[in-house]
Amino acid sequence: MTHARRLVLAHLWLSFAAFAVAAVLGFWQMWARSPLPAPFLTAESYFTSVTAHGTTMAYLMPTLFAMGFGYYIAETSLEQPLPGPRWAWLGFWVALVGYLLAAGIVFAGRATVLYTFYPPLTASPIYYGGLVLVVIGSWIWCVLMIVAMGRWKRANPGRPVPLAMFATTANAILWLWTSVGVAAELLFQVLPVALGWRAEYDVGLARTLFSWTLHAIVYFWLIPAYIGFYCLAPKAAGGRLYSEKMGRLSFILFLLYSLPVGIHHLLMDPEQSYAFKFLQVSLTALVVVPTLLTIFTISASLEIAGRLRGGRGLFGWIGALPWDRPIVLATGLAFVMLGLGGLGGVVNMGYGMNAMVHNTSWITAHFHLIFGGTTVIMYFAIAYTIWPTLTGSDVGSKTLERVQIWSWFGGMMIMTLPWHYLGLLGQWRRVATFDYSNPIIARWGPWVDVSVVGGAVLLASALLFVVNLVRLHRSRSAAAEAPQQLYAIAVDSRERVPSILNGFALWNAFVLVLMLVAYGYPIAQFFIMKPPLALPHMMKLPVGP
Amino acid sequence: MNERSWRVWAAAVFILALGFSLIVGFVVLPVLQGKSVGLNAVTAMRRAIGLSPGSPVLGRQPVSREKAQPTSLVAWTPGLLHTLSEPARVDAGGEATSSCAACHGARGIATGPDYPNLAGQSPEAIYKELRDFQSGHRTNPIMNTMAQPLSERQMIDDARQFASYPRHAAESVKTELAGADVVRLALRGDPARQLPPCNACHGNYSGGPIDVPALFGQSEKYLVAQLHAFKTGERKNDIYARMRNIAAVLTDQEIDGLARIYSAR
Repeated sequence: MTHARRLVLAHLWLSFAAFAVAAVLGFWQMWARSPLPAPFLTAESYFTSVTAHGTTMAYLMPTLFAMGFGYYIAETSLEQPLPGPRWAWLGFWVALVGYLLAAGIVFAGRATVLYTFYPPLTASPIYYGGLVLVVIGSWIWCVLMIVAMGRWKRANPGRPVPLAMFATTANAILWLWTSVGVAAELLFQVLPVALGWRAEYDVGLARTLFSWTLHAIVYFWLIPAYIGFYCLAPKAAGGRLYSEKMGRLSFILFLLYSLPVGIHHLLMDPEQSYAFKFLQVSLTALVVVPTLLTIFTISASLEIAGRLRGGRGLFGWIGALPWDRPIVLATGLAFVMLGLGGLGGVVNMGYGMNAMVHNTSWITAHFHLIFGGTTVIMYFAIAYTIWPTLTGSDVGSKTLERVQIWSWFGGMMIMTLPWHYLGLLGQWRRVATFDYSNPIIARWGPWVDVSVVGGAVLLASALLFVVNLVRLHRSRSAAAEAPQQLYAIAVDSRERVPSILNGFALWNAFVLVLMLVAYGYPIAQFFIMKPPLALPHMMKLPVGP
Repeated sequence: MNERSWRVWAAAVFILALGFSLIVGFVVLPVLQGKSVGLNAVTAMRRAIGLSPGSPVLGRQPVSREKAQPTSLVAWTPGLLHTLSEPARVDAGGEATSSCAACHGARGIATGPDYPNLAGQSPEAIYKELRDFQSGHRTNPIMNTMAQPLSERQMIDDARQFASYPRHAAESVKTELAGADVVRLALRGDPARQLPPCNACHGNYSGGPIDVPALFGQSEKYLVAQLHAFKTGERKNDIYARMRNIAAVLTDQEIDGLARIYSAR
């Protein structure tokens, strides 16, 4: 039991409740795009739904999960009370109010701009204001994480910060850097136009600022899942973490190379030049380093566990692993999805191949596989793992938990593999309906139908997840183990770590240099040259009598 | 490794990765690619960075010799939109000039079923059509002659004035005036025929293009005539052929039904 128990549970419950609602919308969207007749289908309802789904799944759900899990780690891994619990609650309420405002205005039909809200699409200022509040709530969390780690380091001079906390703080710092781009876009481009203070957008500048955030935000979502890989899975499997240094290095590399790479989302945009696109793509490629470090380290950690459990031979240790434990199972399945999604990502990163898949279902499939698949399946498993230590009871049904994790994996595969293929065939994304009677695209139909089946499996799995959490929450039986017992001990844990692997001062300086080189001129050019401006495109508001 | 060597290695790897990307992206690739199309190194690098327009892999930018055939000469510049959004010069109580009023009515309600009502249209919608009549992108023997001598200022003033008159129209689709299929077309469209709902652009709370006319309360005969003109391609001043594509798949019965429900007062 932790002191911040209610705080953590509030964050996680809000995150997962919103997730369940957004999952229903997601299924309906898949249905709407298929040849099957979907209810309530108009273009307006489709884009309202996509905006609500994206806003919830991209901004609220992972942010609240990262915050809740971060508070949990700060208290349990550092074994000290959380600094500023009142501030933490303030952050929660600010984010909740912001989300309710944004979601309310979306469902009122006044914000059908999708979660990327690319200008000149324009929504009600209440939508953007709500998003700003969610971000402000998360900034409070960032500061609290940095303060918690700083206090612990002062109280324990020379000792390495526990890996889970080191990673959480890396994520907090990453998020502070990341959110600057979208905050600048909202404050200086989008909100002034939405409020009617300015008549025109600089679309190129707005898109460039959004690209600053758009890739790094994915790593902000992903890092809690990586904490699950490094800190929870090896222990649950019954082994040790193979190398803590590798973990620290991976999280540092994520911090460095998630930020100066966003222009790879603008490869087909005219406002950025060749050389800067090349620079950012080549920095993007460096993300394979922490990814492969992680796959190697976690595989090695699981091998240790498998051999301790009696596994023999080259691959015998794999069968010996306790696959009935949710976090071990989720780690294995997450790696499969990370592998496939990663290969797809390499395609997106190549300029020539990107031109082919740009704005097709391939892209949607890619980020659902990486985020909805790899990341969210780990969120589930992390919830199953830490929930008993929060509620003090551990019953639930392990079978139902396994069914839920397997069905999420299966649903995600059935949905996204045909989606990738449809993208190669040229199916556009961000389109509400298709004329499948048209012979040119008629053969897409059956593949989209398969995706709908995948969507239905995912919806069932999402609802089962909530049922499982409720069961875990309400059960009253054997007390769970202490939270500290959940964290894996590393093979190299007794070693002193070099100070640059125990803090972020040097790395922040590196990030600053990278951002100045990668984004300095691409942003400055909009102020040096006179860019063409664009008028806002807004849903017309009701006219007076 | 000791503390110092960790720092040195970290900085070295960092500088190496960044340096490689910078040298290859900013120097090697543009210079080599530029050379193969006859560009000197400085021009190629300036193009790669974005200091000069153009691409380092093309010696000369391709120029199309095709003459564009615009569907309309209207360009929605911020200046024009700003002028159109100002209140009408003549106050709303005033009456239109006699040459317009002869057909379109003194307060924008047409004098006969062949002519459209202009009251309550947006100034952008009226201006767009006037300008198209003037340039010949929309043809009508009477209107081409009438619009010919008008100055830009007169067209803007006329547009703003007719826009200021109140419209006499139903606020929503009268569902009882046509079959369920036609009403569904107006409200929901028909995805199987790639038909968006009429109301998506022409409804009161629509998000359509800025020059879309309001349909509620329009003359039934005029609506039927225009839909047929779009269907046959006789009228073609709709950008991206939006209305031509839509009207092409409407049946005559649907055209009649849609005109009936939109003309209801």
